[in-house]
Amino acid sequence: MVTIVPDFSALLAQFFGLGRGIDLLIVFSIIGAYYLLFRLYLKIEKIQQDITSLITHLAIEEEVNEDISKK
Amino acid sequence: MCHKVNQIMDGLFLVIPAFNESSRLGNLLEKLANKYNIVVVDDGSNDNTYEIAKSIKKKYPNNIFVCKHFLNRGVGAATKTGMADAIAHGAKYIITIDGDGQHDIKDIDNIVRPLTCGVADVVLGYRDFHIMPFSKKFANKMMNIVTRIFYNVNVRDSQSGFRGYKSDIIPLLKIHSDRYGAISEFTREIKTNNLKFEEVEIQTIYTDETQAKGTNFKVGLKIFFKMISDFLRGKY
Repeated sequence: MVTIVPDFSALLAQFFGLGRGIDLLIVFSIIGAYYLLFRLYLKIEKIQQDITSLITHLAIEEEVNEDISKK
Repeated sequence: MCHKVNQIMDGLFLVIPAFNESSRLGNLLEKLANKYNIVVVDDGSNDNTYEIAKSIKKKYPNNIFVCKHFLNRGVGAATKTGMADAIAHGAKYIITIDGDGQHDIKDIDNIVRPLTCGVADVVLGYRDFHIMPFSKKFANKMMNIVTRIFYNVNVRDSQSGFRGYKSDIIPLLKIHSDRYGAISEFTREIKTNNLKFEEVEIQTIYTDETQAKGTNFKVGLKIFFKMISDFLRGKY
């Protein structure tokens, strides 16, 4: 849209109460970056939970197998 | 009418999560080993906590079970592992107790009694906040308020790790946290699942080592932000 209608970014910026198209781009970039950070946080937390599930499973399996082998 | 529990025969298990407790765990286990079934979970310690637990197990091979997390995952994760292992060994009642010896073992019978009498599904030990160091007192009181606001559960001590559970309710509990936030989540699940609970006063033994762990202001803040994060994501 910006290449077809060069003034589009300026019009959009004015719609949001900002001065220039570049200001709008910076604001959206910051919002987008924070959103991506939040998604990354969720992903890391999911990976942490998966690691814990794996470690729990291994811990119990090792303990139960050791207990069985000694009986 | 309650029957006296023969602890080793009647499915009572102690679950002890332990992280770097080499100086205290052996002493604790020696006091408990000839009376109770015990599951010790070494949560990725970098001292010889695991070796000490194994050496005690050699003396009591039939009623001590030792699990090892090869990476540290937190007290919540270690508690969950211990509970799952206890259930795998036929536990009917599970008592969680800290591995640093801060809990008086004489209180175990007080925690167990409401469970075996059928009065409660969960028993929460509560500490006397008056004898706590100020930072811990403040943090624990704040956590009680936060637990009440977020989880709508009013308990005297939302952060005490000395608790009792009937094993059949354990699968109902949805605990997402691996670290200290898990204690609050266990409290939340009481309300979520409409479980009967009792509160029993417990003694606390404070030493320099035990004061260095547990809920202080910094830990309380982390738990608080985790609660907000879970709330915003609709996890409860």
